[in-house]
Amino acid sequence: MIMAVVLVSWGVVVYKLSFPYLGRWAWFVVILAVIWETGKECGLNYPLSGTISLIGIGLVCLLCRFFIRKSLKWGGPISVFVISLGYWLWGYGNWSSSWYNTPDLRREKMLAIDSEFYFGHWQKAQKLLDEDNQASLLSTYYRNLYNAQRNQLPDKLMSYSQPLSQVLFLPISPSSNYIMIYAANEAWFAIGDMTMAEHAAILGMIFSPYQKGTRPIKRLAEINLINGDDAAALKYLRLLQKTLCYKRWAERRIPGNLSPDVQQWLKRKRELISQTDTLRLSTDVSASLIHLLNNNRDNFMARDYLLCFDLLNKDIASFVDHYQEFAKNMVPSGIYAEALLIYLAEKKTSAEEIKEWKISPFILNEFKNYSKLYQTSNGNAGLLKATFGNTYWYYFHNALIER
Amino acid sequence: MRVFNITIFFCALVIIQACTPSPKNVRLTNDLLVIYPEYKDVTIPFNVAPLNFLIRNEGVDAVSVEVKGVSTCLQVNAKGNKAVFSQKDWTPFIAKERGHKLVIKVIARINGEWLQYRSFTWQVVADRLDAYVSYRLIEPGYEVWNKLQLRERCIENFDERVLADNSQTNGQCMNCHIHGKGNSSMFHIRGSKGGTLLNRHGKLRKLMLKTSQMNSAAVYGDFHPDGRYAVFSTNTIIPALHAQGNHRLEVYDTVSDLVIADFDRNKMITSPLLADSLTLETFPTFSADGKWVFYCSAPLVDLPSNINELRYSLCRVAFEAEQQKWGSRVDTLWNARLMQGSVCHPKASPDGRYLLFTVARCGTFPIWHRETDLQLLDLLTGKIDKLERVNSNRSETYHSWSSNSRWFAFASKRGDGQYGRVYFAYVDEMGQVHKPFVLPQKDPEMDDLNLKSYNIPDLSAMPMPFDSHDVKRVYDEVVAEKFK
Repeated sequence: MIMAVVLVSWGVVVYKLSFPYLGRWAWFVVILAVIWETGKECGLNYPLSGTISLIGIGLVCLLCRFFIRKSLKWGGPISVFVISLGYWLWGYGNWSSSWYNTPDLRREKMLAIDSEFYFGHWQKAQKLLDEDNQASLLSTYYRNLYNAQRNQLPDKLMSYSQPLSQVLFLPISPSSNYIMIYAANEAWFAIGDMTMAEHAAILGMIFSPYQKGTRPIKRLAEINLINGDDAAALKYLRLLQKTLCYKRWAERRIPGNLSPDVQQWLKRKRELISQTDTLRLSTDVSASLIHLLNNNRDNFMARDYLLCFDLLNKDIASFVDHYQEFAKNMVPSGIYAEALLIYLAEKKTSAEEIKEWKISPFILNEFKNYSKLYQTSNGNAGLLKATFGNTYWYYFHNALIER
Repeated sequence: MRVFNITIFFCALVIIQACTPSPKNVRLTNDLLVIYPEYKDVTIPFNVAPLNFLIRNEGVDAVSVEVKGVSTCLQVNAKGNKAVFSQKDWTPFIAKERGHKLVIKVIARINGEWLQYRSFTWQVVADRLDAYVSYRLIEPGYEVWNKLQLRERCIENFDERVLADNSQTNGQCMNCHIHGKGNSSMFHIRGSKGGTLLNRHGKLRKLMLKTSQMNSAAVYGDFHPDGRYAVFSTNTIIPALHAQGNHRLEVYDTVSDLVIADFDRNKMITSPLLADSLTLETFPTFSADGKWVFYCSAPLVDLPSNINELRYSLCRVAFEAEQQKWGSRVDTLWNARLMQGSVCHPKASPDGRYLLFTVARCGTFPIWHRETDLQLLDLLTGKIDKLERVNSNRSETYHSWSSNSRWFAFASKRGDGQYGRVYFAYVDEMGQVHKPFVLPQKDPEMDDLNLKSYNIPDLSAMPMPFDSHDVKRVYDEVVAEKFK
């Protein structure tokens, strides 16, 4: 609605300015001007204040014309004064961005995926991800998160492109895009590391325009509720209580007055959080996940994120260590079995010993076929991809890791 | 026409009066009055800005507050839950009431009923609080920054101005601003064009406080009383995150030593005694007479695994300014091993009587340690006051003294536990420390809405003679002076 009011005002100003010279054709100029400014507003980086500046400039011009028409003798100096004042008041518009913007449909798609995840509409989010055939950091991040929550991360990890290990935990910096900034805490929050989630949420807030936003504020309120820090949670909830859209959301979470569904949610989330302390660098993903697992061996998301993090980094030695520590009683499925076979082959393990790892005969047989093709084709990526493109073996031999 | 105008004027007055609620049929209540800031029974200076506050009791839609002094009183009637005093009425009122106890009567309307709560008091003292406080505004992340500002606020009113803005200095990190005697001050700007910005006698210099012998550029520092020297620690700082609850961030040093910078000769004065690789030395500060350097010292332990064993003692070492020489003996004033705690940020009062410091359970970054408290060492008697009236169940740290040694400012996370706010506490002639009050805001809701922490509040009697444009000019145009 604000946008509509601003654009109508812009149209009125353009009409008033051009009507004395163009007559009814002024409408044509108005339509062009409004379309042009609407187009510019499609760009996320073009501020509404850019249009408001233009309205201000238009009003200043109208005022000057009024003075000059009254009397050129005193209207001229007054106009100079008014223009100077107008420059101070309105600046000179936002000319720094391009002359026109067009909707970025790719960004629209990412916004849609992000929003559906944010609002917990899993099925809609999954549908959007299925329709999205262009791999991006954000869509892969959400795809991994979605699969991890359903205990399917190792089975599906290689069925779509994995650009880097960063697709498990998004890095944030001042140059990160707007959507990624807000999404980065989601994985840590789901896994149960509230310190890392809080760190990512605060970074999201720090790097967002004006260093505030309801999304990180909501997340910070949730994190502090989970941690039992009611005073800190209240800080954020009080802010949200002042908003039209989030007032009810906040009131259901006021400490001492939690709604039953929030109480249930809180109980579930608290089961995942760490009961012991450690210190780790914010970049040390493995240390964080290991600590969570040492606190709660049933945290399957933390386990899969840790093992998949090792695998995406092609760190087989760490993978095997972590697998033996946190997953040795499992029957290895999907890429875990494939990665274990790489380790066992490197060690030249006997067939008897391999049996102890409970790897399915089918995967064993596939590994033999892959090894054979790898040798005969001299590691030809194209040939290997046709048959084994969805295996960890193919990723291991062909993915390039940026260190 | 004149009659018409007068009629309109009176009608407007009547309408305004009708809109301002005034208490009727007031009932006394024993319910607890919940106000923010927590200004009940605090001691305040006669030169403070209006102590505006809001009432947090549920359902308050109108308030009536009376501040009764010995000679006169202030009255505020307002819609909503905020008691906001006019600066014009407040300043002469409070100046007249110095040395007196004010009684604050609060009446609030809840569900149409006027309730009068138990009154509380404000003790107005004649000792002036330094009129300016500077601080860094930063989100409570600390490890990463984006937009930073150093600001200076006048405590006597609500004027605030920007001393430095990192949007004008290539987004570089800026460390907190500290004052010395005689209106000198300094702060660090990091990055390739950065340096330590020293304001001495109103002249800004950019200094590169790093030599090849130092493990880092100068970090924590303090001025010598004559302004020619400053003592600094050089630290290799590692930030790390806790995993449990709300402990959040820990910052520790793997190496730290002490140096003294001579600003006249651009020379570093070092001592092997304070550059021991097996001992960490940090947070140095000069005594009021400049003859001693107080600092914190801990034996190096394996970090981060033994962070709980990292405990700093409070030590002192002599400094002979005329000979530009460190002393050869270290005295331990507070033994961390015996006291089972860790000292940070010692600050000597300008009159030389007290040393104010922070004690945490362990480590060197007490901001996120909830148990962190201030303690006051009487240097005359050696007695330590644990300042129970000052401390809370959240961290209190980053303190600085008012130039008359009667007040100190500190940052505390009490309230929301997350965002540091500036508090002021009064030390009377008997050495008793009174209940502190938070920096007043024009809108008492400001602290609720603000998403930045007030980092390292530092008091000064005078406003600084520079602003962010001067800082930008020095940052852009001046080459940092090298030190030997």
